[in-house]
Parts: sequence; structure tokens; C-alpha cells
Amino acid sequence: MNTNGPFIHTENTSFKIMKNIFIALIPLILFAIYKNGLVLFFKGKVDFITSLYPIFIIFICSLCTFIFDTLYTMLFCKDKVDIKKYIKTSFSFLPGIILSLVIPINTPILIIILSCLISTVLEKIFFKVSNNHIFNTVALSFIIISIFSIINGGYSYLNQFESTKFNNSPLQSEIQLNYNYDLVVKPYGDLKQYFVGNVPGGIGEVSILFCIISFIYLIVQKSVKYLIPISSFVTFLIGFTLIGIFNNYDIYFSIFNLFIGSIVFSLIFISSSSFTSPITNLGQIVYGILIGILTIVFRFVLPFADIFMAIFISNLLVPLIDNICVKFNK
Amino acid sequence: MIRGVKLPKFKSISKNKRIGFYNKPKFVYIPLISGNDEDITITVKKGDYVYKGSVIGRRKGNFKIPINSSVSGTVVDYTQKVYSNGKKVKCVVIENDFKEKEEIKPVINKKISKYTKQEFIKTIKDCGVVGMSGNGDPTYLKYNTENKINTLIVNCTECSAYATSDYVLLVEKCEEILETVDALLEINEIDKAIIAVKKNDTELLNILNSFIGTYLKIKIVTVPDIYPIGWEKYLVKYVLGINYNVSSIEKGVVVNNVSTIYSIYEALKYNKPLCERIITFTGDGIKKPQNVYVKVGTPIMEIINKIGKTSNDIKIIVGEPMMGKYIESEDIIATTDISCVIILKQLPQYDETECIRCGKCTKYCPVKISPVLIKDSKNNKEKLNKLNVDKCINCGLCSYICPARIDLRSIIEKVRDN
Repeated sequence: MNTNGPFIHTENTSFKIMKNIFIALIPLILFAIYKNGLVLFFKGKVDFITSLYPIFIIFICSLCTFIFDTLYTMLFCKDKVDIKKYIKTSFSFLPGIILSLVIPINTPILIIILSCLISTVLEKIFFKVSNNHIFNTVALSFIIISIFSIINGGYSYLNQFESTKFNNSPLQSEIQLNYNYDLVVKPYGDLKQYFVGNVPGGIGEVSILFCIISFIYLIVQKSVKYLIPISSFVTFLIGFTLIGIFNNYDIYFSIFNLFIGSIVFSLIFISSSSFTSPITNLGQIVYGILIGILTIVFRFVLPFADIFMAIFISNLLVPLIDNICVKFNK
Repeated sequence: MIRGVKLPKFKSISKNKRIGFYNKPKFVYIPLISGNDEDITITVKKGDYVYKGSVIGRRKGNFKIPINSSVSGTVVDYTQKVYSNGKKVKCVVIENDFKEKEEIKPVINKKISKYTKQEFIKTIKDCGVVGMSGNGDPTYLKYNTENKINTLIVNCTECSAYATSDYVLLVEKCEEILETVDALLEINEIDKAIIAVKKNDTELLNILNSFIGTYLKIKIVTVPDIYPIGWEKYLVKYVLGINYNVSSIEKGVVVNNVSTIYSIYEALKYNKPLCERIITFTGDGIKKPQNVYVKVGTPIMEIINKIGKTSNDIKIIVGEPMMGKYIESEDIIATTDISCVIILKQLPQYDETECIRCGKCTKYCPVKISPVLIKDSKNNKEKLNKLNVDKCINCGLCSYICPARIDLRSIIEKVRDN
């Protein structure tokens, strides 16, 4: 028994933080079900059972991360961990939910299962070796899915209703046509449509509005390292504004690029993941700026997985950032 | 920037209750320890008759200071009792004759502000006045300096979640405390005094404001209600904007808390040695939480039994809930450095989970170290040196704020001790 204080504790527990992240995801989950299921059903594009497909994808993703994580723990860490307690407190289904909201609706289930398995096992192995959560499972899973996507000629982001109206997602259009407001932005509507989420994209990440609401909720609940997304947003916007100025693009260029390609959602829910990000305020700002810069670079090099590659590479540098920035913790 | 958190408050349980008295223990156990120094010369032997205030021991070394009896009676034995730090210390057992006889001392017939500095130092030294909230070092050391003292800060922040002993003392003895502060300014030629009060402590502010009018050199400064604002280094930094290395005296600043100021008052006014103090007895394990005026060396269990327990199986926490200690033994005795005793029906249980690296421990640490990195590097001595483990002040904030309920304070303590 511990005989030293403190004998009181803050009410904010890890369980509450994870619960808050789950609550923050609920509007986006509902939006995903609405946009990729109910709308199609009400427009007569699919039957009711097919309209439940987004729920199925979200369920499969969360089940995969939960099962693989728990299985690994049961097989290799059973001596160190109380499995029942682990299942109750680990929230290992959360990465699955987050992953399900960023992937294309047409991603094959087998690929989802495979990517979750590989990323979970790799993450666990590297954790065992380094005692640090080096990789973000969601970012790694998405990169694996992207690799399969490239091999298989690309998984479409368009749902059955969108595929009757468009040929590509806005990001794909920008890659193929280069930025031009009339050719790339306008066909999907004005930027308000992007803000609301009424454009093609990942299953549930396209609504910037809901992302911002969730972010505010997480800040109020003290459940997010908010400096990371904010510094990334700022870096990204400054970077794209400068690129826009050099290329004589209009003022919507930077906003458009921020709104597409899961940037906002990923910065809020993936880059700020506690386990894989720095602990000091300065470290979080540096990490956020790094993600912002790398995202800009990868948008031109590897646009389909830009933010995920940026997060993946930045994750590797977290121990270094921590060690340097803790010296400036004043 | 001052870092800290607002703690939950349980002060109302004991705050506005009448001060109780427990002045008739059959035996008192005077601990032969001063600060953390157990190197004490014993000046009495079994069978000796001692008066209330008689010197029964004296600290050796540079910081000579007497240890006084808190009752009149006969020395009957030596025994071991549990001190506030949880360790057993040798005690002189005195059987109380309940006559409260005091040694005949020359009557001091002058205003307390009329002491010379030498008389003042000698008086508080002879009366055994020590710091009553910190490590119990002799108070005269702070004033016995050749450096010019510019500022006296009276620490009225009492940042414990439960303790109200300083509050009730200030309410009861506000005039005496202000008179003492004024006298300290005059005797030591200090430029000004600052009374530091938490800004939301309106009752205390009202009381102080109603008495402070005539004391032109004494100012009230409000400080934020965050823990650990009462930590001396923090308080000096917040109130004066000054940083220091080892002691505030380096910068001409003396900090005393309310109880210490009052014991200085009693020493100067009545030549009364420090052998009694007010302790807050609070928590759900006691029937009538209250502040009690107790004699040093009184068994804590005796006082708890007198007040009444709500359960047979109680848990005693000595000190405040952040830095205090759970004492399993019932042999704990009242000492000058205990301001609060928390009696609980059961200790709170917290399940530790995996660290989520939220960084809150680093963000809120008042000495700006990184508890989570220290935990990660506990077997790497080279890295630990770079992480400034020695700066830890054991405030417990890292453990308090940790959402995974990891006892970082104990981890750092162990790492530092190794």
C-alpha cells in the first residue's frame, strides 16, 4: 500500500479521456452513416440493408483493431497485464473507428482486416523493443491500405450516389488537373459545401464543421493535445498561402487544400494522439509544425497519403523532439 | 509563468467550527528531534520534575535550539513514538500533573516592538520557535543574517485541501498577528511586509482589511488559488517576481506562515516556548471535524477518541492530502510541524493504468521537470542527471494530475534516493 500522498486525484482519468474521444467521434460517425448510407437509401440508390454498409465498415475496423490488440496482449503480455482490466480500459477499438472514417468507402474488407493486423502487430513489436509507442496504428493502417490501393489501381472515394455525379474526389481532381477553382473546386460546389461535408472523400472525415465541433469538445474536456493540430493548421495554411502566391492561385487555394484529403480530421484525431506525440508544450508545437511542413511536401509527392505519411515520419522523431524540448521546458 | 492546479476543497468541514482544546493528556511524548535532526542532547533524566516550557533537550551542531516540555510533571520514561515523517523517534515521556506550572522567568514589561535585534533573536531561539509548516528549521536563522532584509512575506495561503488551522488562528488572533508583523519590521528594520492571501478567500481578506488600517508598512497581496502557491519559492516569485537558489534570504526576503508568526508573538510577549499549536482534525472518519489546540507530544489517537470516530477502522493521514503520509501506527504524536490530520473511513483506491503520455505531469510540474521522462529513464543514470531529478520538491502534483493514476511522486522519490 502506498503510504505517501497524494490522497486526492484529478477527476480526469485516461478512461474519461478515451471516452471523450469516442464521444467526439459520434457526430462524425453519424455523419458517415447519413452521407454514405441514409442519403443513398432516401434517393433510392440502394436498399435499406445496403445503406447500412458504412456501419458495417466502422464495425469491422473497430472490431479488427480491438481483436488484434487484445489477442496480441493475451498471447504475448499475459504475465504483465490483467486481460479483463485491459479490455475494459484500453479502448483499442478507437483506432479502428478513426481509421474507418478516413478510408475510401470502396476499400475491400480483406484489405482493411490485413492492414489492421499488420499495423497492430508492427506497433506492438516496436513498442516491445523500444518501450515507446512509435507508430500511430491508424496512420500505419492507412499507409498500408494506400499501398494496396496503388497496387490495385486505386479504391474509389465515391459512394454510389456520388459516382453518378463525379468521376473523382476533389483531391484526385486536383492531382490530375492542377489547381484551378473552376475545374477543381467548383464542380463539387462552393467552399461552404466542403465545410459542411457535402463533397466526396473518406467515409466520415469530410465534414469540417463536425470536425471543429468535435475539436472544441475535446479542448473543453481537456482531452486533446490541442497545440499539435493548431500549429499544424497554421503551418499548413501559411505554406499553402505562400505556394498559392508564387503560383498566382486565388485566395481559396490554401483553404481548399486544407479542406480536402482528411487533413482537418487527421490533425485533430490522429496527429494529436497522446501515445505517439511529444509531452512538452514546445515539443507539441515543433511536432505540429513538422507535420504541417511534411504534409505540404507529401501533398506534391504522395498526395493520397500525405497527412498519414507526415504523421508516420513525425512519430519516429517524437523521442528526439521530447529529449530536446524538455530542456526548454520553462 | 506560475504553474499549478486548483485543488478540490474540503475546508468547509472544519472552517467555521469553534476551536477545541485538548490540554489534559495524562502523558506527553516529547520527540527528541528538531527538523529532521535526531542528534539531540537530553537535559533531563527519569524522575526529574519539569515545568511547562522546561528545556528537556537541545539540538546539537550549528542550529542549537531547545526542545521544551508541553506540560508540567515528572519524566517517567523514554520510548519510541511515530513522528510526522512516519518514522519512529525517541521521546521523553512526561506524566502530566495537570498543574500547568511554568518556570519563573523575568517579567517582560515592554512592547514587543521594543526588542533589539539581538534580544529578539535570543528570545525566539530560547523559546524554540521553528517553522510550523515546512521542514521545522529554527526561525531565528531566517532573521539572524547580516544581509539587509527588505521584505517579510506572511504566508496565509494555506494551500492544503483540508487544513484550516492557519485560517482559524488568523480569525481569532488577527490583531496579535498584525502587531507581531509590525514589530518584526521595526526590530529587523525591514522595509515592508506583504500578507499573501488567496484571492478567493474573501472572509480572510475582509478580516485582514478591517484590522490593517493603521499598519502603513503592511500590504495585502492576493495570489491565485492554485496548488502549490504556498511553496516558499513560488510565493516569492509570484509576489515579488524574484527567483532565488537556496534560501529567500539571499534576496533579502523572509517568509513566515501565520502559525510561526503567532509563536513569535507568544515568545516576545510572554516569553512562552513553542510547545502547543492548532491542528485541524478533519475527514469522514471523525464525528466533529474541528481545529484543536493541542500540546506537543499528545498522542493523536487520544485526541481522535476524544472527538469521536465514525468507524472503528479509521485511516490516519498526517499532513495535507498532497504531500501527507498515511500512518498505519496508532503511536503517532502531535508535533509542531503537523497542521492537519485527516481521518478517513478508508483510503481512496486508484487503479493504475498504462501511461497515455498526455504530458500533463510535465505541463504542470512547478519545478519544470518531466516526471514521465524520469519514469521512462529510471534505469538510465546519465539521462536522469539531464532530467534534473534533484529539483523535485515532492509536491505530488504529477501524481495528482496523472489521468493514468501512476504514482509518479513515489517513482521520482525512489529514483532520487537511488
